[in-house]
Amino acid sequence: MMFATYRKGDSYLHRLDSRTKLLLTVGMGIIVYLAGPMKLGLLGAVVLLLAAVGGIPIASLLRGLRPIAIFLVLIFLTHLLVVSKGNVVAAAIPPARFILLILFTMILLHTTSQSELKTALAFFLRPLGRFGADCAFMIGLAVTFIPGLLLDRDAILRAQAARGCKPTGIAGFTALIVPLLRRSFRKADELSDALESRCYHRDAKRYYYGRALAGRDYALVIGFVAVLVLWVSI
Amino acid sequence: MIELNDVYFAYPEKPVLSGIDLHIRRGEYLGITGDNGSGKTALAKLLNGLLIPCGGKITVNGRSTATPISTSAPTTCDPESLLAIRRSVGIVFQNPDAQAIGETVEEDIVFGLENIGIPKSEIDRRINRYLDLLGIGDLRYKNIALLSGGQKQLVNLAAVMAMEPECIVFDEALSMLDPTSRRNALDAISELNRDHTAVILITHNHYDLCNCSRVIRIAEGRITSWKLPEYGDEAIENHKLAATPTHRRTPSHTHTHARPHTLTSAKVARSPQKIPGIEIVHVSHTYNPGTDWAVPALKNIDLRIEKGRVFGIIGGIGSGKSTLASLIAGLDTPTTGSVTIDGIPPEPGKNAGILFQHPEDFFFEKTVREDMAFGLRKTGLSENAIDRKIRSTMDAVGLDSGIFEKSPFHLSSGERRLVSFGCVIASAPDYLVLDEPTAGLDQKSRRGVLEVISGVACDLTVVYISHRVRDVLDISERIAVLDDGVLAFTGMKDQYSDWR
Repeated sequence: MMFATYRKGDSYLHRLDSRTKLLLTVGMGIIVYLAGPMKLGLLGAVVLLLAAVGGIPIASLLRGLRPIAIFLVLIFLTHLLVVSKGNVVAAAIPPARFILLILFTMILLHTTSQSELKTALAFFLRPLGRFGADCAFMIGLAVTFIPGLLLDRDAILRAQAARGCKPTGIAGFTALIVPLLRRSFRKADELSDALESRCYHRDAKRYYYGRALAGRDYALVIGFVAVLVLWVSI
Repeated sequence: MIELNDVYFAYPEKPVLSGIDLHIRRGEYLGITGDNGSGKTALAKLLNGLLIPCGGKITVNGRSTATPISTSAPTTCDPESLLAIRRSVGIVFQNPDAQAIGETVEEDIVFGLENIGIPKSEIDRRINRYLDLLGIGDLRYKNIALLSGGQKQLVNLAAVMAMEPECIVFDEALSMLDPTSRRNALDAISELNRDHTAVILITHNHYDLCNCSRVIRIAEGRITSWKLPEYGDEAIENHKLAATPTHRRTPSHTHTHARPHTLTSAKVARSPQKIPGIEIVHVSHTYNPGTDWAVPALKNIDLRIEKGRVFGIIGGIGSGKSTLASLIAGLDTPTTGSVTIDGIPPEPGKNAGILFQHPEDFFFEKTVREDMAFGLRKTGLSENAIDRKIRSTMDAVGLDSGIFEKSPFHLSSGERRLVSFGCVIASAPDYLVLDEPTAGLDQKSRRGVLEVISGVACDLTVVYISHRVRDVLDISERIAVLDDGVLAFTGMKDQYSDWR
């Protein structure tokens, strides 16, 4: 689960502003998309370098690939058989791009807490005004609620199993979905009461986690853009 | 500070409160008690404008929570006044799972403080102060989703306390706490009250009300006066004992009165003959083993539960009670060690049944009868046999057949608890695990449920798990105490008081 990915730390990557990290990760995505086989290899080395700087075990990074492993194999096979007609190197490029994209994202998630990510998101949505702030807040709440929803689903399946109901077929689906919806709606009601009781209003400023972008953030972003331009031109 | 004048409130389907006159003074400590469904929560929500009265008037520091009632339906007052009212009156609600707004504990507390524009340095001070006050300073950076129900409740308390409103309403907000954390929380509440915060404590637990300067009772939508029942010195002493922290005892102090174990795990694995009772041998259980977020829940538990009695298991928050319940009922397999029932592994719905906390959440059919029949149909019984079984089960749990065709969602909370109890025992398990079966019930329903449990315990073995020491001592002959995943005590209940 996503919430379990972040590890607290004090590396350079951990200390870097989440907005800069988010921006650089998006930038890395562009670089990965434009890279050929040689450059992809180079980017692989960058992943290893960043993992070392952030103190992230490689095994823990690779765990992010597990859920889509089959998907990656399928992409490879499709390209091998249909698109590149037997050229293994050409067929390996699209899955390699996916893998690098995920690894760069995993580095972001490993070194950035959800609160920091939410702050970054709210920052980039700021040009949209109130609508942007609402979006950032809603996304934040939804992310907080997903683990709860999964736990509820498990709890209901277990409780029904304890009554001897194997949740199969239409009846089994009802046995899961009715309690799950009831719980979720009730929780949503209770959450809105809690929000209101704690003086939530749309104009509230979020400032505790905010901080000014430092000189190194600007330097990093400008340096990165320079590398990007160079990367594309050579 | 808060003034209620002839307040009437009704939900579309039924009236809830009528003729409520109440004056809450600055710095007062008011207790509110009443049965489930008597309107206590509605009253709480009326106090800070989450609900608005259908008649009468509520003012907080002179501001009315609703626009003056004209011919049209009343609406909430202007946003500015509403915010001022909510800043003055904070509420901590009952359900710990639905109040966390932040992802981490710190973020959750920060949320409210940002809403009212508290400066950053002051936010830091308040986070430290209120987490320390409640004894959960170590949880500051923890992910709330990974905390236990009781810990979440403490976080909710901290989040509202940190906003430092003039008045805090605690709506059954201590219900998931074990005696020790509960007493700590009550101490913290008293401390706030000494600093002139008005406290409104809504609870069915009469012992919580002893610090109150005034207690009112809500019955059938009206306020009635109420005095703390005269508990004998012995009962109060017992309550204090129940709150004695057990978690400071290290396993080396443990003295076990249980019979020496005659079986090793290897023997259990080999022995084909039936040994009546539940046998838990060298059981350890860890959630997410081998990962960074592994949580060890139980450590090397050895326990034998004899057939045909009520066996009580006491434990504080996060002690591993619910984990042990799931293992006994066969819903989980222990990471190491073995659990057997009458010599074979437990199988949910067959030889073992389990009732989870708040089991009424799991109803899904249109009528009580259908919900009860659902599990039974899976066993291939004929409709007639199912009907007979449901009737006999309902007799056993003391419900009359009038409710068969009602929706389970329209029953009182006590009835719902009994129906879910019936759903589990209808499949006739030999062993029944009950995890906090009286949680959230008022005194009357609680007694009813305890009586029913004693009644059914003649035919089956009940494992009764709770943090309420009094309930466990009332109902069981032998008990065990779980403390931080370790078995700290097993023995007869009279030995328990010596041990403590």
